[in-house]
Amino acid sequence: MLGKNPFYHQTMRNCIIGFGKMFSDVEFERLDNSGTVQQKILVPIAYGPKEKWVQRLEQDPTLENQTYTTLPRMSFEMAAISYDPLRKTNRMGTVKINRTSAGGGSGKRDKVFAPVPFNMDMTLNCLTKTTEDGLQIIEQILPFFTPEFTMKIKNTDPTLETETDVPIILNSTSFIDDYDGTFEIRRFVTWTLNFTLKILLFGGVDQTGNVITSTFVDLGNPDEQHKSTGDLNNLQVTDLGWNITQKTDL
Amino acid sequence: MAGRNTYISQGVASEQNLIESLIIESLAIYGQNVFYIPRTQVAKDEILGEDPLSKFEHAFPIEMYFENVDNLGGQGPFIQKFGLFNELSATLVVARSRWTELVGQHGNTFVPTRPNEGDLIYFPLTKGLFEIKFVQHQDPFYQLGKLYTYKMEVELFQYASEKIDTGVADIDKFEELKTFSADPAVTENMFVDSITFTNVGKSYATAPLLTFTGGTPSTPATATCTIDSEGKINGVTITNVGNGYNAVPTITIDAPPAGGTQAVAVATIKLNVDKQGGYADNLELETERQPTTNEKVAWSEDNPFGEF
Repeated sequence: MLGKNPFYHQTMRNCIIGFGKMFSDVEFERLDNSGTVQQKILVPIAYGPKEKWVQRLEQDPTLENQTYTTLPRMSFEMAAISYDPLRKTNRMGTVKINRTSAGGGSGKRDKVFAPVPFNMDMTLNCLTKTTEDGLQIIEQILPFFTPEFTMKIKNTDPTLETETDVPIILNSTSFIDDYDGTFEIRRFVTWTLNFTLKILLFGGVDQTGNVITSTFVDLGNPDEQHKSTGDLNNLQVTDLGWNITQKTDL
Repeated sequence: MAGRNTYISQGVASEQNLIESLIIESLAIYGQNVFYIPRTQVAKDEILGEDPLSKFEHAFPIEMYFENVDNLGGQGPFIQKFGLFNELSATLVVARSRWTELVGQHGNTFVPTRPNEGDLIYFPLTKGLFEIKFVQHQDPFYQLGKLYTYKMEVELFQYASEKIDTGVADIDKFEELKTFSADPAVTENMFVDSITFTNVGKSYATAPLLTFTGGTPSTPATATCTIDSEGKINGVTITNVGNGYNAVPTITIDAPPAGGTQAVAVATIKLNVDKQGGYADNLELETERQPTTNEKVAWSEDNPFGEF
């Protein structure tokens, strides 16, 4: 039933990549007391959920990485996906794209039902060693969200040769500083930013329809009977009272 | 009322010294050689109470006893949403007099009279870089009326791009580990890291001027040098490391008076952007391509503040 023809437009994957890409060039500077820039640090970012063996092998291949961790760093992950009823459209609406032979296509007509609106919740985490590092990073991110910031994503499936606006809404920002407690408790400065991406998910593409290459308009008395034979491109009209038959090639 | 026996003194200096000597000897026998690395404060923020630019420029070898006889404490490596973390801890014991003799007297610690929280310990055997989290100064508690040791709780260090330049290669390597060494995306962000004289010259009357050319920097580097009594260059100071170099600049040194030998020096450059190999996906996110079309993931901001 639902899985009759597998389809995967990579919409969510692209949104994950695009979301991370937005924060992949965040830099901050460390200044000395005279105001001179001493360090310019690009904040590393990575998608959080990964295979454990991948992380172990990539982040400590020689087993000589004898530090607790390296900071600062950011991570992001997909938190939830839910239907967005506010953007509901007519469920029977379709997007049709003709793959005409003349255009090098298959000669078929692609049809996909109107995309379905979903809210994709993403979480961006930022971990720093000091308050100052964290403030510099967050202050460069927050002003862009008012509270939404719209990105345009190109749908990758050839059928869906469209670009979709994806508003990214900053829902909340929280901050934890583990500065208190015993001396053995490690201090982390953690920022958590929760976003919602307003995405559209397309269903499977029906590629079984034929491309309509010609249209015929009959003008005459609708009460008169008529019949046509042969294929549409070589129409033979038996005139049974028709006044005009007009063919238009598309 | 019961009281202590006044005929037995608990504070005879000779006995205290004997105990202390025995402790020092025991720690030397059962302890491990480590490096004590004091933290140098660079730009402390008095309001936020932190110093992100802290640096570590000295390493003093000293023996310390690991109380963890079986293994280091802590849960070891684990995965967090920020990647791989490595939680290892230990309790180290050091003789007070040895610490003062080998570390404290040099005056490199913020508080010169005792081990400082925030300083580092490098343990060569495991190649672990630990941070002192807490120093216990009364454990054991006044044996014969005196304290002989410090007991330090240490945990693996959270490295946050602090400058580590102790002169001990194994320790200084921690600074290099977390910097991408060959990332084409950031080759424009280089700065002059060092200057090496292949010829120190001769018969300079005054310290010559060093000029950097090439490398198309956004901010050129500058350096000064000093000469000795024979007019040879005996020291160089990079007064501005510059920024934005995309190639190693050429150093031109002024010629000495007639009969002298012109000095020759070469520079090395280094990435000015700290990245963290292994964890960071920045470059991958920028360059990710579609498996089906081999096109970059198109994610633009044509209409960033548009309504939806």
